[in-house]
Amino acid sequence: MSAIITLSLLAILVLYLGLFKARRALLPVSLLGLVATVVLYGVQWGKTAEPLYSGMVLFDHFAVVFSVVCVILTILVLLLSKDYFDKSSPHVAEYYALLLFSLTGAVLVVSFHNLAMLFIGIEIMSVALYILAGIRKKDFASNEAALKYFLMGAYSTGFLLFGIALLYGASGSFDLAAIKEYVVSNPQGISPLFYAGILLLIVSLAFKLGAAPFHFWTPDVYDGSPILITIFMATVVKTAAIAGFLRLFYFCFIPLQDFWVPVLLVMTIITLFVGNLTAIVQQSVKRMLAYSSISHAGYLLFAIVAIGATSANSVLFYVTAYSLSTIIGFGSLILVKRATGSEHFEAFNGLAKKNPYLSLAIAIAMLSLAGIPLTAGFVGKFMMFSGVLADYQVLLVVLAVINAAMGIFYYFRVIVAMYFKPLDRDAIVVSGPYRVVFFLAALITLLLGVYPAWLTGLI
Amino acid sequence: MESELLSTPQDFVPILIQLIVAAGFGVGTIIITHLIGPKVRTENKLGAFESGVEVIGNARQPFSIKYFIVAILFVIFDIEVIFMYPWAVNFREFGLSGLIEMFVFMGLLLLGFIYIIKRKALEWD
Amino acid sequence: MQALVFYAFSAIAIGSAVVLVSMQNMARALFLFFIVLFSVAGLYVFALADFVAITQILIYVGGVLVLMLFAFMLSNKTLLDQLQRGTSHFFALPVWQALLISACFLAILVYASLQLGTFQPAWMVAAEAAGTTIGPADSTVNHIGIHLMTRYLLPFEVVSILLMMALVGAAHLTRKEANP
Repeated sequence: MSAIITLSLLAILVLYLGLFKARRALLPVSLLGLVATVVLYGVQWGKTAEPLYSGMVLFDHFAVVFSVVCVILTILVLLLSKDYFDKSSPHVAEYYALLLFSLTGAVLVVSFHNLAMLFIGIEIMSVALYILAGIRKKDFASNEAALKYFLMGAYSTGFLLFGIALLYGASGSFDLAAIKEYVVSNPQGISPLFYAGILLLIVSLAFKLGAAPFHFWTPDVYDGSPILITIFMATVVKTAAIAGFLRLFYFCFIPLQDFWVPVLLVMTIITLFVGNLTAIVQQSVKRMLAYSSISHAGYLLFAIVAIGATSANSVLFYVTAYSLSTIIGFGSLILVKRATGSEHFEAFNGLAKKNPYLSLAIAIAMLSLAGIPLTAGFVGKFMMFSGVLADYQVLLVVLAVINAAMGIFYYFRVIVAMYFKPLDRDAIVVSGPYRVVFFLAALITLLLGVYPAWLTGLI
Repeated sequence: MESELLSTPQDFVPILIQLIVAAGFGVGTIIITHLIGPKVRTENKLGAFESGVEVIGNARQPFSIKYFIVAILFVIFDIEVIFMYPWAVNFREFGLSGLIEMFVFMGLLLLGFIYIIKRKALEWD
Repeated sequence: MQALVFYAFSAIAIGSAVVLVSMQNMARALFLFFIVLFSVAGLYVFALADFVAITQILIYVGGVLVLMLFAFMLSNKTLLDQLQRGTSHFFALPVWQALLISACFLAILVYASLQLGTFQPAWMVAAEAAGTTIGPADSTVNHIGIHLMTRYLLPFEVVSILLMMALVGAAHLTRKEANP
């Protein structure tokens, strides 16, 4: 709990630092605060977790691990933000404060123990992002992204509330333990309200995750927002959404598996195909990454289709691998766009000659996203597939392998452009923080690919 | 359930009556003037009235965004007051701890308010 | 009598909502929305949720609707005309999808409420047996206040963060930037 309080106070502090013109202090203070949060979580590790504040939040291992992942991803994003925001507006403090507020919401989403907290967490996380998506006021695409995200997000929040209300109507409580008790003790007499509530919750959570058929907003919003905000949305928000999804379903709805697994199975297959087929035809790397993030949402849903004790671990591994590679992918796009003014595949032509290390990092990220062995992405996909195979969903695995092949095709276009399309160009200047982030992310990706046991035994 | 539906709170009947009277008065006067008033239509009478001056341009001029931000801030403080209402009803029972809890709530919002004033979002230059 | 008022409110709410969504003129639609909100507030009173009814009138009718009217007046007319002709591809979700979604939603709800008779929630039965239901003469505000400050204290405090963030965001988005 102290970690959440620290985070929200940190956001307010950063806001006020901006008010008193302490611009230089913004980034160091935010980073220090985030590191302190990680330490506070670390202290909590291993203690037996009790639901706090009359059952509102529960900091079990699941919550702590996913919170720490979210905080560390935010640290990486903030490192990339050095001199990124300064160019767009003189009021930088708001960006940092809103990112931190959004992180607070994400942390609440992964540690809720009461549906009221889930709702408020999702609201805090998304409202901050509605603002951040439209933070470039003069840019039409950014305005469009903010408006679309807001309208669709508000709509899906309506579904979430309706679902929660129906669950309450059937079980008489918002508390996860009480809802579980209701499901377990009435195997025959589950009210139809409850089933309708589960369906509505699936709709709204799939929306936040960006899974088809509720993915319409994803490409435009990811494309229109400033790249740094896109990174935050594609990593931290996705992590929080899938963790919240898994937490709710793992805690409460396992006995009703026969009802919702077919629904999710169909959604997963649609998501994989929509994401991959549209990613293949894209010409812009930013849009390609946006569509591919839809297909990764599909892979993440595997864990919920094959829900069980190992689901949390495979989601953790997959989401870490995916997020690290996404940070490299979008982060390098910031640099390339700054140098060439273009987001197309051609902008990467001949990069390997002039920036060998940057290209190597991008190549590792793309290989990991495609799921090539010796990278974290491979292990993540492997864990997901084996979990589903253990559940005898062979058809799903066959379809997923076809999709992985499609993924390899479009991720390799970037690598081919960098290494095999010669072009005379100036070397891109990679500043210090960017180097640190790329190095760390690439290193962890490789290490996890070789020694996956470091992460798999955590939850 | 049925018994609850039938016994509607009686306190709201006066409000309902007032609503009907208010709406009825508005609709009634419009209909009556329409029926009994003489109908003279000239070009001047059908045009927009601008204090006797010739009509210039479109009436739908975009107006200052200042109004809008004041309205947004009003809505947010409106919500805040709604949260205070259930607290105020039970003020005595909560005692000191209730007061502290409310002050934390108010304090956070006050921080936001100070921010807005400092940022000069409410200034009307 | 009560049933009559209840059905009158529901009929007004549903009728104006249907007219509202099929209306082209935005200003008229906003005033119809006013009627919808009011009659829904009336329905809340029938559901013994008078606090929610008052909240609805204070916030939605008093605040949000005024905000929408302001937004309408702020927007420039030519843009609105474009939107009304439907030529813009800004809201490109085709109509049949919207219809499909609403039809599915309606079907689920109708099915659930038809089944409700046979599956009355156990907690409601228990509460009726124990006599702990709220009657029309009880003050719901008292109950809400007590729950808000004891059991739901954490969400209550976290909501203040949400509100504060909304304040900051609104101030930031509507502020004029000096340099482009």
